[in-house]
Parts: sequence; C-alpha cells; structure tokens
Amino acid sequence: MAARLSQALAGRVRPDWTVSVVQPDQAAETERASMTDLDERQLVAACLAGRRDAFDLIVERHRRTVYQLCYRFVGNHEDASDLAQDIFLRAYRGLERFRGQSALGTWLYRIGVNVCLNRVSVKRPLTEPIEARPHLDERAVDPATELLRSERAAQVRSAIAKLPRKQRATVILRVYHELSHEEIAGVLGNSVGAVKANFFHALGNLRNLLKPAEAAKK
Amino acid sequence: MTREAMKHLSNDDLLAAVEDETSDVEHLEVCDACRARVEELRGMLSEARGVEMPEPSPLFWGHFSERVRVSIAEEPRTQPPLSRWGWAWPAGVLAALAVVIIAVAIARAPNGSAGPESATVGFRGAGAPGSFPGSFPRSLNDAPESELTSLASLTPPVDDPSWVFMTDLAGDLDWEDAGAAGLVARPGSAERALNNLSAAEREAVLDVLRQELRDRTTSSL
Repeated sequence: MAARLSQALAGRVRPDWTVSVVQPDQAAETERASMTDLDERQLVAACLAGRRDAFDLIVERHRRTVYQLCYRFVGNHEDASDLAQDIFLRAYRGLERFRGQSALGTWLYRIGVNVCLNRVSVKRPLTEPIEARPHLDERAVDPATELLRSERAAQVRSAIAKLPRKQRATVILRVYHELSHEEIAGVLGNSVGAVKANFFHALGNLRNLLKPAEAAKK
Repeated sequence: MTREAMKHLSNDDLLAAVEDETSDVEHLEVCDACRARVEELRGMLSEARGVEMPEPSPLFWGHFSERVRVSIAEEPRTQPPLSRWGWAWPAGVLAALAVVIIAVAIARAPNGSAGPESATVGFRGAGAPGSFPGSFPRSLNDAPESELTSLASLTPPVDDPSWVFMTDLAGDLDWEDAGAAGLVARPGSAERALNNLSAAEREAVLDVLRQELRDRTTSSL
C-alpha cells in the first residue's frame, strides 16, 4: 500500500518536493533510530519541540550518573532512585531554561546537587543495610579483612555525611565523579578557588572525623 | 635557609601535592610538617576513593526509565514547547480554534446552501443511524458509505493549484486500503503535525485558515 502510494505520488508532485510514505510504526522506529544519532543539544531541541521520546534518550544517557550522585548523598537505593527520578522530572520541567552554555551533564549535576542537598538537610542519610553493601567475591577475600574494610567504608561514608553541605558536594563530585575543580565550580556556582579551598578543608575535616574511630580501633 | 625562616606551602600548593599535581617538590623534601600533612591528606583521599557503592540490578535501569517516563507523562504535555516558544502558543491556539470553527461550520452547513465555489469537506451527519446529527464518525472506516462526500467531486474554492492537487489526489485514494494500511488520522495527529511545522509553515497554515474563514463569513452573509 505504502509503495503504491509512493509510486502514485511520485509522478504528480512538483520536482522540488520529496514524497515518502511510511507506515506509522515504521515511522516511529525510524525516528527513534535517527534520534540516537543526535547530540545533546539536538535532543533538547527535539524535546522542546514536543518529542518526549527525545527525553527518554536523555534519561538513558544520564541515569546511571544521576543515580550514583544521589546514592552518594543518601546512602541507600530507595531514596537514591526516588531522588534520581525527581531530578529528571525537574530537568524536564525546566528544560527551556537550559541555555546550552554548559554540558547537559553539568546542568543535571547542578539540579542533582541542589535536590540532594535539600533532601539530606531534612532527612539524615540512612545507614545502608548490610545486604546493600557492595558485593565482593568472598572466596578471594578473607572474611575478617572484608568485615573490617566494610566497617571502615561505613565510617568514611558517615564522615562524609557529616561534612558541611558545600564540602560534602565537593568531595562527592571530585572523588566519586572525578569532575575537575572547574567543572565543580560550574555545578556549585562557586569560584575555582572556593572549590579548591572546600576540598582541602573537607579532606582535613574527614581526617579529623575519622581519628576517634582509628583511636578506638587501636 | 633555616627551618624557622622557611615558609610553609599554601593550602592550594598542599592540595596540588595531595592530588599529584605540580607543587613545590623541593620544599616537601626539606619540610617535614608539609610532607606529613600531604601524606595524611593523600591517605584520606585514597581511603575515600576506595569506598565503593553497590551496583543496582541490571533490570533496575529499565524500570527506572519507565518510572521517569510515567511521571513525565503526567506532566502537562505542551509545557516545554510553550515556555520556550512563547510566540508559538497563540498561533497554535488560534490555528486549533480555526480548525474547530471551520469543522463546525462545515458540518452544520445545509446541503446545497453553499455556492459553487465553496467545497463541502467532511461528512453529512443528518440522518445517520446511531449518530448525532452533524457528528463525525470516529474514523473513515466507521463512516457509512452514504455519508462520505466524494472528495473527488469537490470544486476548488479558489484557483489554488495546491488545493486542486490535494483534491485530485484524495479522489484517487482507496480509503479502505488506506485504513487497512493504518494510514488514517489518529488522536493527536493534528497536534503533532502542528508541532512539527516550522515557523514559516505555521504562518502559511494560519494564512490559509484566515482566508478560509473570511471566504466563509462573506458567503454566509
């Protein structure tokens, strides 16, 4: 049917017209396939033009990073997935405010840090349950060593959670997301110097917070 | 230089040393305090880096994307384009209103009341069993044969080659085949089509609609 229509149309339109007749399902698949080739700015433009499937691709590309950011702030899967969903929803609502001056990822980080800091300021981070801790092959690691390492990791996470807001955000972005000082400055809206100072003091504070635990261990 | 006279590294220099960036290596070789501070913070950084986080199940990502999709689907559909293209929404609303007005005017127009130059596009609703007078069938496939106005017999309203082309083309279409092939309008098709138009195309559509409205107003007076 589509082929017959194409043939029927081909000889009847103006020479400068291009006519193609495609089935609706094929059209959707074609559009989806072509959309995967778009860069982030083009995806944002498509989304602003009403293409929600373009936002699906944005989510697909950034969901892991956003989730990991949330997890580092709240320390448990449930809250992290709720927060990550909230971040994407806010991003969708505010997409028209994305100017393209920074990368989309940086913009999402900015929303994410604000959402996470607001959440943790009203809700203390939960200690993650034992079963949620990273799974390691216990055949290769001595159980006692693994237990100690696990306890120490929990202490470090707890110490990070006690840092002042900007220091905590800086540590998470620098240590776990490996953002440069300049990128962190863009996310937090600070100067590079302030970011460096925050990071330096955060490391010092972490050291001080963990000293009592070390002393108790000895 | 004596140790008392020696100036310690600034916080910036210490951080650079901790992060293995350029720093005053010579100073660190001779200053125990700065070297100890760097070692201490370097150990802290290394320990923090070693704290892993659990990886969610691979199935989680699909569920997560679906959750986001559902939450976004509950958002007002046209919010992003409306906010971004402030000029577009009045045009879109105007175009939609114009389409509705034309459709209602056409559907309510008595048969034969229009002059030879006004085409009647659509369905005659009067007397259709099981339907309200003037209402449209849900799709072409639902329309009884007797209610379908032959598009091929329409007279162009003006000497417009595009109109001639479209009516000519529509007259040759086998609507049953088109319906079976899924080539029928679906809910939301008009909105999607409008969203996909460029600014110039929208303006052209608006001009056509305005002209059509003017012609119909004139002919009905």
